[in-house]
Amino acid sequence: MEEEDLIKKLEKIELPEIEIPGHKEKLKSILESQYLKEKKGWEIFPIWKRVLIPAGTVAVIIIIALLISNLIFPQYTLAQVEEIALKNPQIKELIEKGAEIKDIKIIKDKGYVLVGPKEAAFQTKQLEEGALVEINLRAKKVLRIDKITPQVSPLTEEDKENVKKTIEKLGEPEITEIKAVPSFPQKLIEKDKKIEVLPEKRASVIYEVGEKQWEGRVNLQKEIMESTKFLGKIKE
Amino acid sequence: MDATHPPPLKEEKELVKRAQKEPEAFSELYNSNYSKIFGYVLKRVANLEIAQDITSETFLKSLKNIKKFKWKNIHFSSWLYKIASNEIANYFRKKEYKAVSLEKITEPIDFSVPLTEIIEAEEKLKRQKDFLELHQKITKLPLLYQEVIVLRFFEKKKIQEIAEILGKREGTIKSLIHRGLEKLRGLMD
Repeated sequence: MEEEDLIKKLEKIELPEIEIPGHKEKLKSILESQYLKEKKGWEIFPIWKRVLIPAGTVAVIIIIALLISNLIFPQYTLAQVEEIALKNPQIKELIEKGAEIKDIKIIKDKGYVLVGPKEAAFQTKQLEEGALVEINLRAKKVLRIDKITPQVSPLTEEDKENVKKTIEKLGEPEITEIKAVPSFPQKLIEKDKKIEVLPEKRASVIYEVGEKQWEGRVNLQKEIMESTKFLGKIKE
Repeated sequence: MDATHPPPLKEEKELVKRAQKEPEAFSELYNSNYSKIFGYVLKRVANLEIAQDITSETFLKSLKNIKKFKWKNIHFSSWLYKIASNEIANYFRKKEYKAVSLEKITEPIDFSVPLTEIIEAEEKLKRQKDFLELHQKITKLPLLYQEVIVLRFFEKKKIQEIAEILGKREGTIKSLIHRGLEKLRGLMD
């Protein structure tokens, strides 16, 4: 059979309309009842859509933001900073000599560690130096180490009054002398995105109670007497 | 609405939009498309029972998805033809048909059709000897050729319409028809 003949044969076929009216009617009524059921779903769904889609979008944005921020500004911990500092030979040596870590701060991807002598107010042989360590946290590398030495912060009249108040808590001592003593900084502070060492004010106070003379060390930041030392009996 | 002639695209677009909110508008779409779809399915499967099931499934699926339907400037019936074609393909692949959407309806459905109507339709179909003879040969062709031949010669669809229904280029449809006819010719000889 030629293609043309086949086409003619196919085109010649005229099928009469064969229908089953009962099926058409039944299907129509089923569709009508199902429409109402489906519509309920359409009405409920947009409410969920309105709530869930923005919530989902927000969640995705937060996750992306966290991932990006973690890539740009990874979350460093104080422990990581401490670990890097302690690996440095200079700092290791200081620690072995009797220093300790006083404070740690993180600014963006830099870490700062303040290392200073352990507190021992009346020790004769006390370590007299410490260090401020700057660390690049991305590279996990110590950038610089600045030597820190105890400093004497002059006392104001107000400081002296505070010293007196602290000593008077002991009873009724007679204060004979108040003077500033060298003190090692204990804290780091962040100022204009830069790290500064906060000087510690300490005072030595000589006082007498009865016939005995004492020397006390007062921490003016904490407003406490940190230690006392018996100096001897007062000679008449 | 005249069932044989679809409304102009602009009107139909509005009707579909309404059908996404109003059952009456969906009924209008159903009324104007039922005969086309049932006729097409019957020409593809030549079995009244299967034709009823596939037609039911086609409209139930269209109802389920009407809310998501996006107007693409082609007749709504093209979408229905596409759904029906997919269902027919399922039937031919599995050699049986399960009207899934219909089975999912939990409420009791009385789908009993008067027997006289069935007998009458069967008689009509039996009398179409030329058609049935040709249909037997067509069903031996791969599904793609079956689709284009039935749409082109029995449904009298233009190449452009077939391309819209099957989501293919007009050139592809032309070559599918040509190759389908060649294969059919081979079966006729």
